[in-house]
Amino acid sequence: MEHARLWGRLAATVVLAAVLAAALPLLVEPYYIHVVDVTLINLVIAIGLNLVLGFGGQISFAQSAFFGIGAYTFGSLEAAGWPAVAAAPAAVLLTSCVGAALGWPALRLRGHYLALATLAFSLIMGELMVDLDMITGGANGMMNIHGIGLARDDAAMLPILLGVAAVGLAGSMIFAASPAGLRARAFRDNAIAAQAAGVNIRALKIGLFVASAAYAGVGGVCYCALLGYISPDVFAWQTTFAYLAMVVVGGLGNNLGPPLGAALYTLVPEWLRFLQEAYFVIFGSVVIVVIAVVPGGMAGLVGWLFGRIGRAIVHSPPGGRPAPEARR
Amino acid sequence: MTEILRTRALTRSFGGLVALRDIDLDVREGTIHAVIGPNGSGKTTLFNVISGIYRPSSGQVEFLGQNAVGRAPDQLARMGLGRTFQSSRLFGSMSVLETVLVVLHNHGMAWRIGRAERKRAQEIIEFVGLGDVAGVPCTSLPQGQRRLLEIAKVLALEPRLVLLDEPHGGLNHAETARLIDTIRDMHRRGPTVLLIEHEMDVVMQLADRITVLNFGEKLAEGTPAEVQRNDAVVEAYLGSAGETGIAPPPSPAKAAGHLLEVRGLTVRYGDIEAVRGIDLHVEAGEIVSVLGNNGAGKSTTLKAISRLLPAEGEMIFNGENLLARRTEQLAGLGVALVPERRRLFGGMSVLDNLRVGAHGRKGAEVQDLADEALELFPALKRLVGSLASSLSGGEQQMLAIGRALMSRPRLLMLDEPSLGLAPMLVDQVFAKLADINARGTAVLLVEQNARMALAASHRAYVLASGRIVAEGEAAALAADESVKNAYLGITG
Repeated sequence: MEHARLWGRLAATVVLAAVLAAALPLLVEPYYIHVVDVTLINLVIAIGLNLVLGFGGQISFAQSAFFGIGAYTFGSLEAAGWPAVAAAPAAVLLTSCVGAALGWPALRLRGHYLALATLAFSLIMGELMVDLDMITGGANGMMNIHGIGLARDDAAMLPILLGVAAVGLAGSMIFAASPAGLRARAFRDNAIAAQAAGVNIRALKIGLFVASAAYAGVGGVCYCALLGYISPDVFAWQTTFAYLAMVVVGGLGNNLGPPLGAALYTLVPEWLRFLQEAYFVIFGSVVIVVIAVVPGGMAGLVGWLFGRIGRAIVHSPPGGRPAPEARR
Repeated sequence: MTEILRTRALTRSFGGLVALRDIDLDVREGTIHAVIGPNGSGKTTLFNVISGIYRPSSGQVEFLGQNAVGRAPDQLARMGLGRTFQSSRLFGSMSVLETVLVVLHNHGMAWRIGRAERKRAQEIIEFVGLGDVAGVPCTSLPQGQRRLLEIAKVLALEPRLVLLDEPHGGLNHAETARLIDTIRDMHRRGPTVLLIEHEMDVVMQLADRITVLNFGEKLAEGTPAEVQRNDAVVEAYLGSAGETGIAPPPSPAKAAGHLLEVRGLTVRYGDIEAVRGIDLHVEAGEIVSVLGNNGAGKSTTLKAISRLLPAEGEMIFNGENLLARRTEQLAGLGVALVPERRRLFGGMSVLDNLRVGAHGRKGAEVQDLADEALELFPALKRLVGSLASSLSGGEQQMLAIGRALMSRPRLLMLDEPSLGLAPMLVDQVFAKLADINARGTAVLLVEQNARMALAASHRAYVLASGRIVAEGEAAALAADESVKNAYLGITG
């Protein structure tokens, strides 16, 4: 039964991606296609953070740095003459290795200390992206990245990014339903009890950092392919909080969380654009309200609503009036 | 029979404190082996060292004939060493079934949860009697079922050795009986059991062999019958009063009303009733002790009177309704508490700790009070400038009492003042209590060291499972077998 549910969700993800790929170009203006493309890249990065923070309970502020490492590695390798088919996996692999290298010392750290260490890592990487101008182009970044030849072709990139995001989300869903996902939750819920249950939490923690880095690395490659240029401000340490906001507002440890969070984070500012600078106030307030009022995030809210609707249907007597339990 | 677990000269210290010293332990395969001993005797530290949570400072641990020192807890768990914890450690986001599935899938590369494992988890859950609640979130289970879930988790490891740390803590009689049956059933399935237990009835019912720890050292070992007859063990549990020369203080003159009167006190932790409708009173100038097993509700009673826990019932102190007051107001009313583990301000000097206790008094008077406290505890005089955290256990206890006296209380309440103190220091602390009482302060005392407390008190109450099972003059209770029963499970 559990497997049937997983297959249903995977199928729903694929169908939704296909429907969006077919329908969006007909329904929205070209500018919004670009916004959706950026949302999808944010989504991939947020899924990675949800693995380590949402399922594994390990706070990481390293996501912006991993994103940058993926993008710069891809850009540099292409500039060195590598074809995209080789540069892309190499960039993701290198980012994953950096994730493992960060996960290793992070084994000794927890809570606030882990947060500070990963934040420091993001700071250092942000500086290096500017200072290593021989490789990174310094403050100007890298121009004219060939990518897969579709740079700035938002419409052509849409189905590709939808595909990448769907595969990424499917991976996270399979993980969540797998024994490894169960172990990650055990680790998050109570590390000592997980160890007593025979779970190797050291390997698990490194694995979670590697996975989060790999997703961010994919996001970096996609970003290069979409825009054709990169500059260090996109990967500055401050942006790591954007991904944090996405997964927290979306719903930690819930696979619906990153899509909802990434969509809210990217789309709401667009709708509130007419407010100009004041939209930060509105958006910030929304974030605070969601965190304070809905502990499970938007995904928790959606789950709760569906649960209520489901119960209302189940408990509805023939007369159509809800039974008392359903009203509770 | 072979030994499944051996420790040799096992020692673990924390800073300067030696929690375990030179422990040689042999647990024979197929037995139920119990570790008993007073609070702070090192039982849980022993478990933490064996199961790999702490590294020993020195000494050896062998499990299944292999060196276990330096192995991670999860490695030992997969080798077949299962353990439970004193307070249940739940996976808060999981159902009962998922919790057991974690153990069955604790390693390996499987990408999906196996059908066979699901079936096995269901079997284990039914075996411990949780079949009806397999799909329920484990956080919604009552205490008794949480304990059974801990057993289910351990069983899923298919362990060769199971360490149970106070498996029955916080359970009522029916739940305890159910748990004992389950432990027996589990043992019959094969694993050796090493258990920590305070409730002597449980130990006597289950154990083949008992090791007694005291102050981190092995005090005695043998069959239950041997241990029960061992004078040193009786001393370790009941204390060493008698040769200490603590005289029962002269009884106070009868006052008109009670200084403290408690009626129908009930305290709940969630669903558990820790204290069930007890009545007690303290007269002005009296020393009263509250005795009983671990988990009997002694400290809870004291915390409830100090307003540190929500409680029901009536509590009148000197005409004031304590239930209408907050903890920080008690000092002003004349009630002072010396909490369990002392709770000193470790980063402050001895003198500053005393000053904080003076509750809103003015400079000159504070100085007088501090001098008075130092007069009572001369050992603290040369330490006035030292940080409280640098003091020894006995000095810290003196300081905690001195700090409480700074508010000139009419009633001084102490929670386990002898906890973690060497016998000689215990004697000193009790002698000081007699001095304090001689100056007119009433004392309400919670103590595991029953014999010592009885020698120093006028009256006493004995608690079991949150109810008063005996009360009366201290001397009469000291001669009463029922006190011994409540403490050591010695019948007849």
